[in-house]
Amino acid sequence: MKLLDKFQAMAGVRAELDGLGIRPFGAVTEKILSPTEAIVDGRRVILAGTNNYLGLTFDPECIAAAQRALAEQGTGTTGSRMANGTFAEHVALEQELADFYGRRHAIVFSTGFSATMGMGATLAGSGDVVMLDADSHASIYDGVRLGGAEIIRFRHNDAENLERKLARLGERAANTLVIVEGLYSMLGDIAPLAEIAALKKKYDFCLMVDEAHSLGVLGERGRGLAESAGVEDAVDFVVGTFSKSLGSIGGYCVSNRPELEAIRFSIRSYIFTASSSPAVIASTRVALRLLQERPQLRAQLWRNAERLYAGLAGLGFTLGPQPSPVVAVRIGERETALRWWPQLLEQGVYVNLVVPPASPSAFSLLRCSVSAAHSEEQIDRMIRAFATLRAGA
Amino acid sequence: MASYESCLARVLEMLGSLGKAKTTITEGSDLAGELGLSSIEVMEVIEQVEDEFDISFPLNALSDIRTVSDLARQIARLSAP
Repeated sequence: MKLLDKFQAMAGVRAELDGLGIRPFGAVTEKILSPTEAIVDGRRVILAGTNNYLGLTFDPECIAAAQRALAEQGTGTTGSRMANGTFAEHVALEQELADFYGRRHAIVFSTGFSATMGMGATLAGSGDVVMLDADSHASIYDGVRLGGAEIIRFRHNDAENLERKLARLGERAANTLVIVEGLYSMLGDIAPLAEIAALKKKYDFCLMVDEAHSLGVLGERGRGLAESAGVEDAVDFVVGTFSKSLGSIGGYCVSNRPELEAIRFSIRSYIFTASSSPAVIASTRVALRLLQERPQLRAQLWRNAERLYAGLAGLGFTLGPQPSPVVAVRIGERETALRWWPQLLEQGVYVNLVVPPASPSAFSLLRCSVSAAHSEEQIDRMIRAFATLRAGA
Repeated sequence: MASYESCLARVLEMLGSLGKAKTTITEGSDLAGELGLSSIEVMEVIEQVEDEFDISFPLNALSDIRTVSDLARQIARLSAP
């Protein structure tokens, strides 16, 4: 087989989609109108798959802060955090993140992917063990592979299966990094973190939680699943992203472990890349403040999530196991998912199409994500659009 | 400890029950190529193997597994005390 032959299968998928006349993996947003509406492929649509949980992308305060930073500090830092790329604002955001989480140390990364990938790659190396949830994000899988540790996955959200595997490790369990996510991005389900924290007492492993989809979504103060499950003390490292609830781009890790400051200088995805631009840091700082000042956004997000989940469940669709801002419709036949996605777009509802192997199992997904900025009327329009699929099935 | 032969017999049985193979499954059958297993299906087989043989299968070992025989050999190795 020649070097590029392995891409034939993907080229086949692309040709199949072209043949069907749909572009689910490259639809172009021609004009973004608000956190919840855009012109996509010539149509005005409701954005129902954006991860813009708190709807802060058009917040006037965030925009003004970014504009000010752009004018005063320029378009980019043009350097690594380790060289010329640490501005006072990067340090201020790290302090604000540490304060928000009530932890002593914080690192800001240029993307969420580089945060989870970098921490996974750096924390566990040769001779160590990583145990990760089977449905972990690609950045987690990629990171731990780079690190060179022995990688063992446990069944998704199955603390019993995790324990069985920890028990098999014997003494090595204490030299293990366990990684889970707060809220899983595909099905919107939540890790059994209290059970996993209880296992930590028995096996003494190190625990990292990716709160990418749960920051601003879960917990009384919006810190994520560890807060809502009441087990923050059991979590050694929290990683996350700015590109969902905070409406910008970037990633972070916070911890009480003093080692994090030494780890910082070992993370290749932190060192060998340019730091975030001043405008990004400025809008993120404001968004983090607004997340804390406006708990009503989180309440509205959950009202919208429950409305959509109940509406789609009422239509008889198979959904993820619990209501959450990610509402995923599970579809057994890939062809049905490919047929339904453009029908929703035609009706002005733009959701995410997920087909294997990107979906967590052999089924396909029409994945919706809800925002606090969605109106009830928009949620109801989404439900009505899905109802027509049912009617035509 | 499970012998290579017993692991092979069980793996052949498991793969047969998936009903994917168009021809007879042998020791040398290629899991992805000949049997057409997707990455998700390979992981489902691995999960079944882990439960049945009471082993944890490191993902690092997957890159060395191409055929039925490779899989049976790895299970025998992991189930050694």
